[in-house]
Amino acid sequence: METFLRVRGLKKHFPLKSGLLRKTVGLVKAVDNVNFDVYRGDTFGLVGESGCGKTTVGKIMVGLLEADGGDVTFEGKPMMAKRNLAMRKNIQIVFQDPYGSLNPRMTVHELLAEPMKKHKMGNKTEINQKVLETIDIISLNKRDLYKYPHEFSGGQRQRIAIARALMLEPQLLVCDEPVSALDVSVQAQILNLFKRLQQERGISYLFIAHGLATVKHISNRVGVMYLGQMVEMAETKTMFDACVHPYTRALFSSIPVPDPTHKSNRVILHGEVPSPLNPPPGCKFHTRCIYACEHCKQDEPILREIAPGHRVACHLSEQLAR
Amino acid sequence: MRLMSVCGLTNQLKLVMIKMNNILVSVKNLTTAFKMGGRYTTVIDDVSFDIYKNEALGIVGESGSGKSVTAKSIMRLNPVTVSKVLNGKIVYDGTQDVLELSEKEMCSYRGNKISMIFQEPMSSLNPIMTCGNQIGEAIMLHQKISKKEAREKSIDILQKTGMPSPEKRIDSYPHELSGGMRQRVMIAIALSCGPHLLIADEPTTALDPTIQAQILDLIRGIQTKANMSVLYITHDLGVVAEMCQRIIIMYCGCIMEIADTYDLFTDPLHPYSQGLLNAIPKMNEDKEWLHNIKGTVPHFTEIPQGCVFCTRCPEACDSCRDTRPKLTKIGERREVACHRVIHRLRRDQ
Repeated sequence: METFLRVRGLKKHFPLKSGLLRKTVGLVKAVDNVNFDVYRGDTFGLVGESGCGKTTVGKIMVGLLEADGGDVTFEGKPMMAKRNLAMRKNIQIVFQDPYGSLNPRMTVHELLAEPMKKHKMGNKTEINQKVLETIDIISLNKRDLYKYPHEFSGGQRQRIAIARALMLEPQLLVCDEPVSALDVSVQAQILNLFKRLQQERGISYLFIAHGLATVKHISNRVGVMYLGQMVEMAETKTMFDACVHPYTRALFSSIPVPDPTHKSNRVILHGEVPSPLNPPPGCKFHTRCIYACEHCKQDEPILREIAPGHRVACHLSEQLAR
Repeated sequence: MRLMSVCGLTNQLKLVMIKMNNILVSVKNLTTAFKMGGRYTTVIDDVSFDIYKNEALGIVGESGSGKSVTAKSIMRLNPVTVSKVLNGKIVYDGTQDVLELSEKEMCSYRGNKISMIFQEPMSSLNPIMTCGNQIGEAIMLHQKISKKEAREKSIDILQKTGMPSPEKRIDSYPHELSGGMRQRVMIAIALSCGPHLLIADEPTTALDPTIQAQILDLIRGIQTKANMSVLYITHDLGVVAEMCQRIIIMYCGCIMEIADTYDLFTDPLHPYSQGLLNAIPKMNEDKEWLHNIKGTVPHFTEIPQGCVFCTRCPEACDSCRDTRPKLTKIGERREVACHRVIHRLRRDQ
């Protein structure tokens, strides 16, 4: 498949300032040397616990944050840290909380028309035409156009947020936990909408979530992050059937399965995620890893391919894969 | 002949007695209303269920289904200024009606016999008290022991919750702890007086999956060791499938179905239960499209007069829209509130 977004060595370090003169006292390595590709018309799922840097990756892709290092190429063209409007147009984002991401003082029509106005696309009639087309996709009524966000339920608001992202016909949609704030019965509607849009329009997704079942359902390939680094990356099927990294295994086994007949052989991790301000040396996971040896404490493992398309950052991946 | 019938009667009485003895909390026809915009709106409507001794019972529902209000009713924690119990009883251990206790009596019951842990540990812990003092406060309120003994006991309990180096952590303030550790402190406070029932209101929703696994494992371990009942309130079907023996499905303030976990997951009867189970993506199956419950949860002012689910139910008929189905016992441990299911089962019999 055609690589469409290529990310190599992405870095984002947030300075931690303290004291009267706001001196930099440390660096939070939120994203440290992350590589991944998103193919055209494909979905790449990014999973990990809070603080692992997955949202930061998403924000850098959209241009809401500037990367501190690394190369990002979009359709073969390098993407600068500072974006121009044309580049922003191609990558749009849907946020987690539809209550916070829609301006409460704008009607649905204004919300949807705003991106096109900002990008100076089309005149009034063209914009109106486009708004009508888009609300049709998200199955909203024409009457709803002049309502305000508070008049809608969470699921409807999330659909409006998706519609807003679709107005510019982006090629890549970054979805940052788009269903976590929604009720179970509504999540299915939104996930189905995402799938339908992909089939109809060939949009690619960078799908960030912590709900593994959701990610499995929607993604073709999955990357797992831990403390700012990618620890494992594979096709969804490989990832869920034969993951190798000890963290991935623990993470996947920790999800409660809605099936009482399911026999869980749960790996319960001890301790908690170390502070990203002061990450452990060597493999960042060694403080919680049951297989950790001396080697892991000293050398940082690199992400290497152990099978076609399956990359793992673990010194012991060969032994564990068996 | 007469003797036999007497025998039969006593046997039946025994059975009832055993059953009675087995019930820890019995909620009967509970109806609670909240004041909204000047008038009272029913939030939970005619809710009845039992919590047996030593069982883990789950209440599952979406936001606004009344699951938290139900749980808080058992603790009488719903704010009195805006809420009102219109009808019903909550009988504890077959004798006391919790709703009739005075506030003073309630204090000795809350935290002592029944305790509760909440979703967001940061907002339920006092930010200006050390963890040790907060655990000690709960113990000293219910038991006559000195401050020193309370401290020792607190360390002991904290140790049981799997807190690393509890002697040190006991002097920490909540903001110095991570989310998982805070939840451990909450659990320590809840368990400090050896309650018979622990109500866990979304205990792991705010936590990461690996920490969630730790906390669920902890609660399960404590439950078997301490012989208490646990009432889980959650929207996560995965959590209840793993933790609970019985499940109550709630929707818009009404109970839709009560069933054993296995029965519910293998053969859900209520259309809402079926929809809910089909709507979640599952790890062990590949489906192109997820089942979709059409529409959205109605606003609390727009709850239909008939069955609360009739606006979204694929099987709804006129009688569903006119009269609300009663929660009806259809098996030894199974109840359902749906006209069509009850009708179908009666016809099959």
